[in-house]
Amino acid sequence: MDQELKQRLAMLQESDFAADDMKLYLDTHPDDTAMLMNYCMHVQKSAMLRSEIESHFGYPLSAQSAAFLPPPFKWINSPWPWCSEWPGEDALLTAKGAPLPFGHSACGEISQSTSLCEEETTKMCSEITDGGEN
Amino acid sequence: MWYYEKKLQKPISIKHTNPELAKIIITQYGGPDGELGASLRYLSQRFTMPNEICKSVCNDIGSEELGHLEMVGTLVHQLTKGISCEEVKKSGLAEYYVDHSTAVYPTSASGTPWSAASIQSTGDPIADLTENLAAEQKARLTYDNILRLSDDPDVNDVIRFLRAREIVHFQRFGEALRSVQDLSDCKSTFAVTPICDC
Repeated sequence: MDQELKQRLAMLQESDFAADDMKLYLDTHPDDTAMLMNYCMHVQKSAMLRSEIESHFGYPLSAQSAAFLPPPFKWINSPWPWCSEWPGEDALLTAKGAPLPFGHSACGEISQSTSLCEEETTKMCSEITDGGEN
Repeated sequence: MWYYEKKLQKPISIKHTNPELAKIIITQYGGPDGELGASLRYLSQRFTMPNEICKSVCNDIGSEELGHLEMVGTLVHQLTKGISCEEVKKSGLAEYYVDHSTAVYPTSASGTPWSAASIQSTGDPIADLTENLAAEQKARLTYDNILRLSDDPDVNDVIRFLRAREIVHFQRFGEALRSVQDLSDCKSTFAVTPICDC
């Protein structure tokens, strides 16, 4: 598996897990606006990583996303997550601080770095959570 | 509705097989306090939960437990992949191996297949949520025991993660229980669930 893809998968797992944990907190604290904002940012970050993993690397995380990739049907491709060939967390260690060099629809086609993505995501999530207060 | 996503909640890559350890860890797959029981317990109880907090907590923790079931199955699979018959005999896995080879099967470490008799779904939210608090603690202590018995750092890293999730779930179920108790009859000495009062 491509080293860059391994890094992105490890980053996605980390971001998705953070979002999962925040979701459980929000289940019992639905009025916590700051946490909703934080949740929004992590879900956005995951959406960007997911889109990159699927579009740029051609690795479908869901059967549905395999519908948008050229034949053959890539959903069936190994490795499956329970195989030891799946990237471990050492991939995440090398991914810390690594830039996202590819464009994302959520950040505009020409975005070059995570910092720009974060800026746009923060703005978008602020608009959503501010809207809830009014 | 669920859709499968091709990743674990936390990646698992075990470097060394260890059938002796797999024989112990399988209990969190299909044992009395394992992840299969946890997921089916919460996902069954959610239908009769009385408010949004309890419905979402049972739904979301039940779903996460399915992901943990997959992680425990992954541990067992990677710990036994490609082991020899000699290793099977030496590790004490022979009784399991004769029925299941190195497939993953929901059973306790002592060999009792998973049973719905190990869980409840009562329709009474205080009874159900109180059972869930106990279930999370029982799962936590099983992970504690696995950590006492295991010296594989790759395995222990995953077990510590799963153990920590039990503690978070315990906290959320406690908050859900309080949300029901707030609805209860204040005149009663004990918490009584309004929807079940006759």
